Amino acid sequence: MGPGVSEIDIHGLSYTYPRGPTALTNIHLRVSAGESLGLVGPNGAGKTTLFRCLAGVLRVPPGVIRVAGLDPGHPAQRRSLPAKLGIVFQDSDDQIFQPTVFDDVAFGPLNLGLPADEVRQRVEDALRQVGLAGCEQRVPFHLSGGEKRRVALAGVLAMRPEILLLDEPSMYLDPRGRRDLIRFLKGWPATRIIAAHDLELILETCSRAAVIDQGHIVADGPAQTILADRELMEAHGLEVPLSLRRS
Amino acid sequence: MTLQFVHLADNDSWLGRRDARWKLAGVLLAAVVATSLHRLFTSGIALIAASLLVAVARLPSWWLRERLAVVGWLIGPMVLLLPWLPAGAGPVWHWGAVRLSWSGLNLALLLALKATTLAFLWCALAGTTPLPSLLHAAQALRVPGIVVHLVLLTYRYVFLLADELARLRIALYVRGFRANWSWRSWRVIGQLAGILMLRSHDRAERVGQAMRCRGFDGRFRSLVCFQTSASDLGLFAALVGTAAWLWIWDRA
Repeated sequence: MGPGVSEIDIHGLSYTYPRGPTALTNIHLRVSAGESLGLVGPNGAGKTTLFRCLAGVLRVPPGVIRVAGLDPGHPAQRRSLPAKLGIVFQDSDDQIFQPTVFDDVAFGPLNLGLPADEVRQRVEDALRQVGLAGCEQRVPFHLSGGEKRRVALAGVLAMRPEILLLDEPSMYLDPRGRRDLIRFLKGWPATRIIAAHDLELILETCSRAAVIDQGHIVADGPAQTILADRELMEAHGLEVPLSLRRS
Repeated sequence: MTLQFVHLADNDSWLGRRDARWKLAGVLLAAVVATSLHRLFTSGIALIAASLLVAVARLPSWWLRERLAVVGWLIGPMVLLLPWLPAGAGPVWHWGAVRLSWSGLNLALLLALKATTLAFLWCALAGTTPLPSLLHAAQALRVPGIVVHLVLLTYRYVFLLADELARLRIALYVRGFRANWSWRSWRVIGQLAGILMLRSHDRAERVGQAMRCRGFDGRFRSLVCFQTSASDLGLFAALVGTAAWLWIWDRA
């Protein structure tokens, strides 16, 4: 899929939790191949729900979402989604469940049915990418919050997805870890959507930003313009990042 | 909490090099037989056999001690109490109001022997086989996938639950709660257990979602390749042979 071609296409997505509130209302969003979109909004705005709909975790009607040519609303296509789309959850503890770091990172590639040598290679590469080379035999529950975050990211990277969804990626990271993450995201060629309250991170890693509030996309445009719009940001419970306030 | 689950580095003992499938099958059969023994003598022999297995496993003594301590804490009170409780047939010794029964003593010793044997067998197995290999072996032995995953997730999430509980306890403590025997205290503890269950349920949901997002389709996959050698068959034969011999002797 070449640049400019839409890799994520959401057309009129609404989602209501069973016996719960309406989380998303008539979402229209397009993300091109290789594009980096920052999704910002207050707590409970619908960022995580949108990610879960895209990943096929929450059931959506067919024909509403198209991700890397697949429809998460279609059961057979939904099963092929993990090879194309990787999601890093907000809480890394939800994502790490194997007894060793190696086994955890290998979990996804093994599920893709790759040969053993390829799995080992991918695990090695992914751990190197996140700066955890040499930690293969460590036990996940002995890791710090930041290290767990890196393992969760490595577990997704090892699947070499075309699209990466990151939900609050800088959470639990210390300044150095955050800086490493930003450096990594800048160099990562895949299409990505980053949902975060860390607006400086969005500013550094995303060319485009969308504001979501109460299940609606209320603004969408260049990150510098959107995040610098004080009126817009304050109207939706956000703040202009410090770096934009100074300039 | 985590001490009980400390992951041992690769065990390079003769037992550690054995095929996990044969080891698991043999140890499980031996464990079933050890629990079904009725006599002290045969249970004692089973314990000696299990200790030999632990010796072959060359496990670190601190690791073994920690696990045996847990068993001690679990069964210790029962073992200490049983001889003094009114029991069935057999001689009874009286010292004033205190009485000691042979049948209670017999039961306590039997319980201690069996529990230690099972602990030794489990340590020999778990200490020489990494968990992924063990789970893969269980799957190869046709243990239902749901059981294999239950073990895997229990292993991982018992720590999260412990952390969750610790956080809740701190939250209660900093707000002035001190557990005592009052009705209110029990009610708070009950609520705490309920919250813990709800949080665990939510967590389980999210873990399931995360697993599906990484392509999980209900089958447990591993890089472990099993290869059966003559030594594996020898180990299995020795375990099953000893178990069968003890079982027959116990019932003779």
